[in-house]
Parts: sequence; structure tokens; C-alpha cells
Amino acid sequence: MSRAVAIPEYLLREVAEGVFLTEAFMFLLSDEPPAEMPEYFPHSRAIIEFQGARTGMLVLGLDPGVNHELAANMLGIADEHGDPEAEQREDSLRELLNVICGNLLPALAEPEAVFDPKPPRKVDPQEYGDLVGPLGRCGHTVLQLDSGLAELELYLD
Amino acid sequence: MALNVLIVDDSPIARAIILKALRICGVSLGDIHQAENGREGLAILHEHAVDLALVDINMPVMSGEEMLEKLRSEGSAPGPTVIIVSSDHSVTRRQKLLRLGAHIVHKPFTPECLRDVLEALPLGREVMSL
Repeated sequence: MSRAVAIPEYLLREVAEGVFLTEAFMFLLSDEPPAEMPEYFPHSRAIIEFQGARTGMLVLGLDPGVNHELAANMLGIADEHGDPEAEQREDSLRELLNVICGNLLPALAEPEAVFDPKPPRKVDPQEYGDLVGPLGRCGHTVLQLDSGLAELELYLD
Repeated sequence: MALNVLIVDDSPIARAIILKALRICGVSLGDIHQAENGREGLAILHEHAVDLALVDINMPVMSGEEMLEKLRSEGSAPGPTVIIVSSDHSVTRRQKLLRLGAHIVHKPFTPECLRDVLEALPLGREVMSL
């Protein structure tokens, strides 16, 4: 029987906001999700699967502008020194997801619980659909940042 | 004195952030080695004199936790000071890492967080110009 329960949206938002701010100096424009989602969103998506006290998956999707700003800020690259490369943008997406996941998991179980997350990886829309299909989405939020949107989804078995 | 440092993380960006934080902290840096996983990290430790290792937990091939266990089981030499730099918040895992002699910095971290940990170490106080 599934133990999945809904995870409050504010919890995902708080964790993600703190990580965006500390890792990349990126601030939320609003405390609320956008009223409407753009048609082509997100541009790039990464997942991190975890086992242990709970089994599931966390998904982070980013607008291109957010991914660009994220990589540039994490690397400390000012605009005049060039753009982050595709590999760096992908790495920044995976690393941000990794840190969000580590900070979110304690909220899903008792403090002594041990989780074993796998390394995060980028997925294309087809693989994303195949992976989340059998799972129940337990949490979801969309963050409005200066350079675009970021979406966080939590799936639990 | 300058510190010979090893940074072990599968993310190049995470390694760059740690290195930048060390510089912001005013650490006098000697040789800087980098590895993508625990196995590579151990190989570097076998070949080079390293004073301080900053190690992630969640990595492919060999995790930071396994790397630390193998390093401690090898035994005779004291080995480098190890700081685990990870987003893992498990109390159980934290206790295990502390028993293995590691110090811990949680991601996301600011340079000030890293400086606080380094300042508490004898090795850190010798090499920081604050």
C-alpha cells in the first residue's frame, strides 16, 4: 500500500528558495506561483531518485534563462566574461537539484532516517514521462525568478 | 604554511564553489587536487601529500562515505583532515561520519560556514589570513 501523502507546497517552496538564494544568489519575484504556465515549459529537466526511509523521485525543471543565470552565478561568471557552456548549465541544474533534495528529504521522515539518493541526471521529456507515470505526485511548486520559472515536483512510491 | 587540498565531488561546479569559498576564507592554498568520486579521491591520496580533503557524499562509483571508511581502514598514517561537504542531513549518517573523524559542512553553504569549521581546526588556524 502506498504511504504517499501530500507534501505542502510551501515546504517545497521554502527549501527551494533557500537553496536558490544561497547557492546562486537568485531571489524569488513572488511568494505565489504564476497564475498561468507558459506553453513550452520547462526547457530542461533533471531528476534525482532516492531510496531508504522513503522511495521516490524529485524533479527540477528550469526555463533557459533560469538555467543560464544559475550556472553563471554558481560559477561566478560575469556577463562580460562569456556565457556558461551547455555542460556547465546541465551541471548546475543537477547540482541544484541534488542540494534541494538533500534539504527536503529530512521533512519526509524522522531525523534518524537514512536516505540513499542516486546521482541526479538530466532527462528528456520521453524518459520523464516514463518515470513519473507509475508514481503519485505528492508535491509541486513553481517558483517565479527574475530570469524565468523553476518547477519542483516530488513523487513518492 | 600552505594547505595541499583535495576536493572530491562529481559536480565540477560544486568543486569550483568549494575552491572559491576556500579562497574567500583566506586559506593559503598549496597544491589543489580534484576528483570526481571517492575512488579517484583515494588514488590521489595514495600518491600525493594532502592536508585537507573536502568530500561530497552522493557520488557515482564510490560515495564519500565509502571513501572515508576505506581511508580510515587503511590505518597507520593519520591522513588528511576530512570535511564532508554534503546536503545530507541524516542524524544517523552524521553520527557515523563524526565517529570516522570527519567534520561536516552542509550544502548550501556560505564561505562563512566553511570558515567557521576551518577556524575550529588547528590546521585551519595555521593557514588562514583573516
